[in-house]
Amino acid sequence: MTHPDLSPFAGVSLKPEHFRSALDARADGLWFEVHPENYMAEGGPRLRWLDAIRDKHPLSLHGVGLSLGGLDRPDPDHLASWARLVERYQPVRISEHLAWSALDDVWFADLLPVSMTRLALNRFCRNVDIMQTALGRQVLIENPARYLLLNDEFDEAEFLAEVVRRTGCGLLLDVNNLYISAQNLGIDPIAWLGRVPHGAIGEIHLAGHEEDQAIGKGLLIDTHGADVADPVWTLFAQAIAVIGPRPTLIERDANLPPFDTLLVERATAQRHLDRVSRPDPAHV
Amino acid sequence: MSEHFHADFAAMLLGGAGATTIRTPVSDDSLLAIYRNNVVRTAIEALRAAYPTVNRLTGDLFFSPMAKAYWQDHPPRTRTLTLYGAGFAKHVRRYLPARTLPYLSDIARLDRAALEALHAVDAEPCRARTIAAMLPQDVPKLAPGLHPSVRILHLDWPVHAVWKAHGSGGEGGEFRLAPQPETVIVHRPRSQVLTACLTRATAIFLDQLDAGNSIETASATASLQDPDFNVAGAFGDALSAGYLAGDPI
Repeated sequence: MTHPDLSPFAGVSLKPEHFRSALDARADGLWFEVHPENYMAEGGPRLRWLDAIRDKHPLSLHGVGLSLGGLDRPDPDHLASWARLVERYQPVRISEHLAWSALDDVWFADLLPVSMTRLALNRFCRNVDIMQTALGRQVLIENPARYLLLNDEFDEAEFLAEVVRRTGCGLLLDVNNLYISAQNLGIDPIAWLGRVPHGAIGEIHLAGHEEDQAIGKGLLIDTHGADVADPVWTLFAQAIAVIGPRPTLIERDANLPPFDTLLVERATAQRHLDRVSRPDPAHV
Repeated sequence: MSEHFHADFAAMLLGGAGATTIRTPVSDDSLLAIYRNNVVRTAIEALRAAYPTVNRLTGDLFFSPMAKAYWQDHPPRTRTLTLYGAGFAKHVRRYLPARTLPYLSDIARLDRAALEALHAVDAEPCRARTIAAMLPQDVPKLAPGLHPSVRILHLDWPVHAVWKAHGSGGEGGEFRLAPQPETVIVHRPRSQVLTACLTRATAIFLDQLDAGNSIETASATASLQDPDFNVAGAFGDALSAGYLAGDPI
């Protein structure tokens, strides 16, 4: 994913509306990320579009449905579908979330919060182990956007550090989620960064957020439907100054702008990464 | 404590009950509502994407509560939303506010068939040259089966033309419908989903082939419906349209 002399590259979320643009794109090092759950049908043009795009650009698979934070073990059928996609698309990275989304056989199709107890830690590690074993790969675990405090026995950075230690998984640092959680819950994001293992961070996400108008007390919601906000760019720059540059994704799921607009945001991220990789000698 | 957390949280999402059911220090129902709203909205948007013609005919404001009601009775049970909403046409038929649109359920069935055809396994249909290479006397005994993307719908309302007009790319327009049976075939031989109306006899012929019968058996059954049924024409049409499964021999 990185050339020894180059900084890591930035990528963008890939949506069907942008298939043609993505296939034709020529930006150096551009990579794409999709939700494997959107590619689990038996057939159809979408799968073949992804084949063609994957032939030209690296691909990352970012899961949303495995419910690693749930009570149950990962659904075997879902894992089998994951394995088929890993085989077919040979992604450069795979990831999932510190979240749950299913209980018994009902799937909520959302990332629901984990109450970070010792029991929850044991279950989460068990599920990460199962996923990594089934797919034969390291998985990166993403930190969630948090809106409320639950009965936690660990703080989030501690919990993630422990998961890394026990399972050998990596981390996906979502800077937008860290910012949202910090604003909503009064967490210090720099202190949070200080407590997670930097070497485990394998990817960074940047996304937009919006205020929840209904609640009306400046509560930030992770919508992935807006441009990356200025304070998130600032936190991103601070983060990579501390941990070093990493492959970085511009994550956009809603209110899709034209593909070229995503490439502009991507170029901004790339400039940040390049600056950290090769600091201007005048500023050293 | 944490054993109850997931169950209580799930109950809150499905039942819309307040924070009092969650045995955690959480007391702010408006914060929990963020998750509830997200879950419901995700399901509604998945149904809107899966039933675009229904949504276009009713408008977003009518569609959303109808979709929400479906989700409450039938939350997703597989971990992908691509094919969520299999029972939606039945739900539409029973949904009281939709009773002034009695054809709407048939529109939903067409949307569903198109979605299933779009995501069906990719397969090459039977080619004309394969049949041409056979001895003519062997063809009637052939049991080709249907292409895996084929769906044949027996509708109560003649909605095919309306469905096409109000799908994406259609020009819309006013219409008036009277109940009358109509049979539509939906399939995807290559990249595009295609639809066409079928005569009753042709539909029987194809249903028979789908059940594994030979061309001559299927033709005989179709002829019971219509003594003028022309098997050569029907078979030729099916071959050129790509209704038949590949590798029939």
